Amino acid sequence: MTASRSVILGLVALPLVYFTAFFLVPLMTVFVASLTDAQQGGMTFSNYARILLDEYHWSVIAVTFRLGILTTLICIVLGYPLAWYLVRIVKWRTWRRICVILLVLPLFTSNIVRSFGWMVLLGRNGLVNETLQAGGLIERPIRFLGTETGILIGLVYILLPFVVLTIGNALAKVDHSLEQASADLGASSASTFWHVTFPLSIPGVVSGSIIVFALAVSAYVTPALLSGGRVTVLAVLVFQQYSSVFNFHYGGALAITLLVFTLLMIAIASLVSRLGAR
Amino acid sequence: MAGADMTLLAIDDISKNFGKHQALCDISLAIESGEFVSLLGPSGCGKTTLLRLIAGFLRADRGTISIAGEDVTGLPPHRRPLNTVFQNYALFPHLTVADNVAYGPRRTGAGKAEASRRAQEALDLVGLGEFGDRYPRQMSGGQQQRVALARAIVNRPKLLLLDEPLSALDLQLRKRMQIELKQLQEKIGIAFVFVTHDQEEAMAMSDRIAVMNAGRIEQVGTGAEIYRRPATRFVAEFIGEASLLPVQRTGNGALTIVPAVEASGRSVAVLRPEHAQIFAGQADASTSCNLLSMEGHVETVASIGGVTNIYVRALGHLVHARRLGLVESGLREGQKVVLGIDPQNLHLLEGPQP
Repeated sequence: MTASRSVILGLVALPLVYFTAFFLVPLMTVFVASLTDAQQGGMTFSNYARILLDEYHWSVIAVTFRLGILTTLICIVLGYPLAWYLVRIVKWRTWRRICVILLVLPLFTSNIVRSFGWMVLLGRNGLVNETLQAGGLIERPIRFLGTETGILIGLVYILLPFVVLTIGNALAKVDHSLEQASADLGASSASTFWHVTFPLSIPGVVSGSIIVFALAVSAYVTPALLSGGRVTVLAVLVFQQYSSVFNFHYGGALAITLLVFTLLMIAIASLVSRLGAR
Repeated sequence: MAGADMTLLAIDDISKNFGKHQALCDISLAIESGEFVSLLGPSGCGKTTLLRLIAGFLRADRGTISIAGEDVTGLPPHRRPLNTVFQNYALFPHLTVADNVAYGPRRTGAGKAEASRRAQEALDLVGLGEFGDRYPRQMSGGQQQRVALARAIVNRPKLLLLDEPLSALDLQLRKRMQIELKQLQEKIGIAFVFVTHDQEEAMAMSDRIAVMNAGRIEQVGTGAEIYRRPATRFVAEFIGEASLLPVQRTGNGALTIVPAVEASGRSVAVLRPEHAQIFAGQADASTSCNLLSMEGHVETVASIGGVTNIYVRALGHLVHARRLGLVESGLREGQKVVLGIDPQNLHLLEGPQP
């Protein structure tokens, strides 16, 4: 009896300890710091007031979430066809494997290296501008670096694999007989896609979107490198406070603000998608 | 057979290979309007492949399929005038029952109101008129089966394909659904092509049965025909139970049964268990002089409720006899008996049999 009781206790306690140590304590540390006054040390909302009552901070929040939303939308638009190709079109297994490896491989290389790569490509005399000029599409080089467009390109490139994998996973789970049933009932292939396959793949689209959105709004390296200091996002502000200014209280408040806004956006998105599914 | 204009589905010389495996070989079959035809055979015989070819999910390597006189061999599934009830029902999980059933009319041009009116009609027909708002996952297997049926008949096709639709149901429900399905088929007058591996199901429901084996149709006929006069050894063994006895004609044309040791290369007589009579002694058997008789001994007596199966070893053959009711008194294992067979009840498969 005692043995089994201690086993049960262990089974309950272990996850509890795990979550407390790795998730709750770090989060609470940041949260408490954000509510502490930098000088006197008492509890205060002044760190949050400094953020939320200031126009500059709101503009940074706006840029951050604009980039997050656009990155997510573009990733879905680009990722869905790619996922479809991998799951539905490719019949040769080896080729599918090669494609997936090519897709995932960049994830194993450093973010910094990849962002630097885009700095080179997107520069005034970079490959992108040279190609566009040579093709006669533009007369003068477009400025990508230091603009939101440049950051957007970098974020989409880095986060695209996540949507392809989640959507591909959802597409692979759609029972083929449902599509056959749809065709049997008189629906063309396009009609079958819109009425059966796409609705059933929405869970994959939603989970992919949440991953990409969360990673995009909290991304630091890519915006920092591709902005050239001209565009500021929340994560860059947080980094400055923690690494240069050493103001953990104001920095913590920035981090919590980012977290709350992110959760709000995800909540709204899932509410909308649930209403849409009805 | 009625005139050619009555033929609804004409399958001509269809062959289909999967790699090196020959799934179907020179299949020809004609089905009339309103007919209930079962494709019956063991798993892997090609019956489901044939159904998928008719539906258009597979393309034949050779041969043609016509429906109501129109060659549909090259048409995709959504342009074929037929519907299918899938084995796993394939109900759309993201749509309500009513929307599932209305899916066909909606995709084929009916307006929203018209589609839901027809869906309601089809649901009423299968007795699920009040369940339109539910989702498929909220329904039992039998109810899902009816939804699949309603969805398949809502477009009023001339031909309905059913791929082992009752196989997932338990025995009681399956028996009830067999009757309901047959009644529904007669009521709405749609021709059914029904794939099954259950011969009782095929016998109970079909106008005609096509018995398939190893990619070929062995015999097509009514249940009674294929039971009484099986065309091949496979049909004789697959449909019902039978003892296959090698036979020889004597000088005056009468049949005699050949002992097992001399069996190879002979014609074979099919003996159904209900036609094998058992007598306790030679005297009883000779009272009716027309009977072929064989001496033997009882090997097994097995009572399964309503009937008793008796296996008698005679001339080296194991002969299966069946009696209604519980075991007859006096029949014990090892007992010497005489088997009596009326030659009129024997069906002969001519020519040397393997």
